[in-house]
Amino acid sequence: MRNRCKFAQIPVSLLVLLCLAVSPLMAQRTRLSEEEMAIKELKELLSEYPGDDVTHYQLAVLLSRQDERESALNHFEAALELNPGAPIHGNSYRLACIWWHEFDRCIEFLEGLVERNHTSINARFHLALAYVDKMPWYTLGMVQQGQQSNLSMDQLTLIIEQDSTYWGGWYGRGMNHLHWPRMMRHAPESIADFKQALKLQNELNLSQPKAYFELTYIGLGDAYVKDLKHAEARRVWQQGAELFPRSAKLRKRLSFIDDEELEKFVKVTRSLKKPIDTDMWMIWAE
Amino acid sequence: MQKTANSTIRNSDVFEKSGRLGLITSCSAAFGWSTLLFLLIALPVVLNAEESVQRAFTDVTRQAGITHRHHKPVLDEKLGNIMPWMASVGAAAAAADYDGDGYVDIYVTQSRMGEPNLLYHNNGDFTFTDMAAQAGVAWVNEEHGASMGAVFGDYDNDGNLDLYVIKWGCNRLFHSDGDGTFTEVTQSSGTGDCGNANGVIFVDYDSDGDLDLYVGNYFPYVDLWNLEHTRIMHDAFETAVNGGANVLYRNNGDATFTDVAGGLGIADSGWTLDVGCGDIDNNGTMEIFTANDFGPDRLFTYRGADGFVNISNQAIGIDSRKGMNAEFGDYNNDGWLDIYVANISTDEFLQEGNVLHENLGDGSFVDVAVETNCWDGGWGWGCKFMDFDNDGDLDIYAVNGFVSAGEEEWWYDLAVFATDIHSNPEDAATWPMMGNKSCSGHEPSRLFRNDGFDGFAEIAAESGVDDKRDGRGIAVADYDNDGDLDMYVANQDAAGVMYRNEIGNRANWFEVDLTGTLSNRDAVGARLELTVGDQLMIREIVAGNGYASQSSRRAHFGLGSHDVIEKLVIRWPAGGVQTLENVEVNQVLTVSEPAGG
Repeated sequence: MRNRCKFAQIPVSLLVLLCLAVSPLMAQRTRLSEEEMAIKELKELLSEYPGDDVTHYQLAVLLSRQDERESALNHFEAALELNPGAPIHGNSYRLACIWWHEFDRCIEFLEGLVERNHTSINARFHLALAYVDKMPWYTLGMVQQGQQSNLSMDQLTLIIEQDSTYWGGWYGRGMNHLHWPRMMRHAPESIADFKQALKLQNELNLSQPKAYFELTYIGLGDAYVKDLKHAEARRVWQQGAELFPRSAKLRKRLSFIDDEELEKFVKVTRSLKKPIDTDMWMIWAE
Repeated sequence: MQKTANSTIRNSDVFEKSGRLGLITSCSAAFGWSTLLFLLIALPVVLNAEESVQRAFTDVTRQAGITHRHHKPVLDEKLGNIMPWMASVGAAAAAADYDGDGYVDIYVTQSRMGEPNLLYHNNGDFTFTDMAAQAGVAWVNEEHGASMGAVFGDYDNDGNLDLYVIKWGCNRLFHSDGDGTFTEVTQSSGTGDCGNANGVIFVDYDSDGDLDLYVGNYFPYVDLWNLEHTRIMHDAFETAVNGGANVLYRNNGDATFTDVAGGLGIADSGWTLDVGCGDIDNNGTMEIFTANDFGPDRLFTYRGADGFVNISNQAIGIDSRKGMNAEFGDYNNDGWLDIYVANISTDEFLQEGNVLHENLGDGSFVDVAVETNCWDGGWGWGCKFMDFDNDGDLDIYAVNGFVSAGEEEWWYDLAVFATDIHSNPEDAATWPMMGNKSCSGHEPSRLFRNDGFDGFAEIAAESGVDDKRDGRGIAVADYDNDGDLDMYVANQDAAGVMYRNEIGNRANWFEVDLTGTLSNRDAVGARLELTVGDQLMIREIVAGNGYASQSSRRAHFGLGSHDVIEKLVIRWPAGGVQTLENVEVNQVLTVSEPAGG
């Protein structure tokens, strides 16, 4: 009786809010059962076609959503073994490894994959990025972070030697150089690599720039700041802003009037212990 | 009296400065002569008064008769490319009243073969006389080996402080004869480990009533003066565990010791630079901390028959920094011992930061160094908790600086080498040439004043202790028994500095000397809990905590304006608890452990 009275006192608005809160939970439940069904179907499909990398990949993605770490990673790895050059497979695999802090497993697997498929540029690219993914992990000090970056740059150099038109090679190496402390004198190399990436972009002569082109302008400008060339940095960012007028990152950088403040911003944003976004899906998505 | 003399000097300075009057007479019309005179005379007095309030320490080395200048070791010439690196440690100091005359003396080390160590006897008037030769503890560097540290402790509970000297080479134990002289007993006691030690404490780890020795070794067992090869260094810069295994000498109670480190699980093979101890879980036994270079620091707790258990992961987490100092103290007066560890910070190359492990009281710690502003200690070495201003909370003095040499900096060469994945750091011969380059040299020492909820304020410069020599060990003690803490700093390859505290005893204070009867006589491991008003302060008696140094065993409390100690609880290592009430302030009290425990 007392409970009933209390319930009666709850305002209608609160009841509506309660219903709204419950409905996503129900939707999630439905989605879960749909996912479970899909997983079952994909597993059946795999028993029939075990050599289909896409099925392994799709299954891995669904298992990841259900936090099935071991199974998901196994299927990502199976997909990559079957198709080492599939860029999205490698990208999703690395992101899953980051999520579960499986940095060493990821590196070990990709090192093996590259060894078995040494001509696959995409596999090597993901190995290079996997070293970077581990850098901000808290057990690593600055020395190990620097070592990870050097390992990454070694792979990116090999990629560039193999195919100098591979944008990711130049961009990735430029980004690595950019995150070293200024006193380690990597800024000129960073500038050179970003410039090459920019050149490749421009040579495409696209009427509409690809979304990821923005990253090169940001990186090149930041590298100029590390090299204490503030005017050059602003010029590059301005060029980028003309192509990407809605870019918050470019606008933020252009908003700095004081050079010292700008240096501080770049120093904090671009350090070895700062996580680097290596999700490069947009390159291949387009 | 002292303050009056200072004021006189400063007033005469002011009058000398009044010669400037002629230059500014044109301004006088606007302000009037009286105003101008007031500004010229009073303002400098006010400024100087401000300065005298803040300048807490005076360098009295020369007046004290201390002439010690540390000389660094010269090792095998195969290490020539990095000799400044290799020869960057060894300046140490141990403070203790070795002759029982009521004044704290200091033993200081030399690290060059053939150079004598010094035993500065405190004459009671803030002057010191070297008595090492007469006492028989001078000539410890004549054979292969160099002193790296020393610690006093009464290992046989006979009422006299003995002395253990650690070396790169073989360590040496000197038994006090009770008349101001010592007799070497290294061989008979079995304490002559020939590792390459850098840290040592006396600790009664098994609470059996006598002091044991824990020795932190740095290099593995190699003769650094006669190397067969140069593969003697750490094999990584952040995860290395290929250093010398640490040694735990259990006191057998019959003037002999047995190394039990391996059997008890505390033969840490990290590159140990310092060892320290403290009861972090308030259970009456002490945990042991190893500050390791190039790899993880470790925290061990003793579990009787199970030996020592490594509790680092759950307590302090995984560490990859360059641990160099292990100091215990309750910085926030919450009744739990915290730990301060020195690491390396430079402008950009390496920013590890010193760590203040705040004890959460549940077996875990959280690093609050950044939040409390005691993070930036430069290339840190010795650090000591001490309430220098007697305001009731523990401040931190931290010395630093690696190699102060030429203007050119070696950091870039080192960083390129360290991060190169093809480098082989284990082989000293492959390291970049250091020559006359500096590496984090000429760094000012830091004095972090504890401002309570506001964290720490770095005030070394205004306190007169921002010396730029390469500091190593800090021996804190009330050398003149005036109620505040003075310090002796041992500098690497440079003269040491004696700082006299000028301000501490403006506030109330209390010091206590404990003598164990059932417990070890030095009362190492005893916990003191002092209550004034609603404030609780704890101190623990230790012997050798902090890099390359031993501070006075006497417990010191700053009391601020509190003029009575409501309660003093002494928890003796043997388990007895003694409570004193309404204790008078501004005194040095001696307490013996009651016969009944």
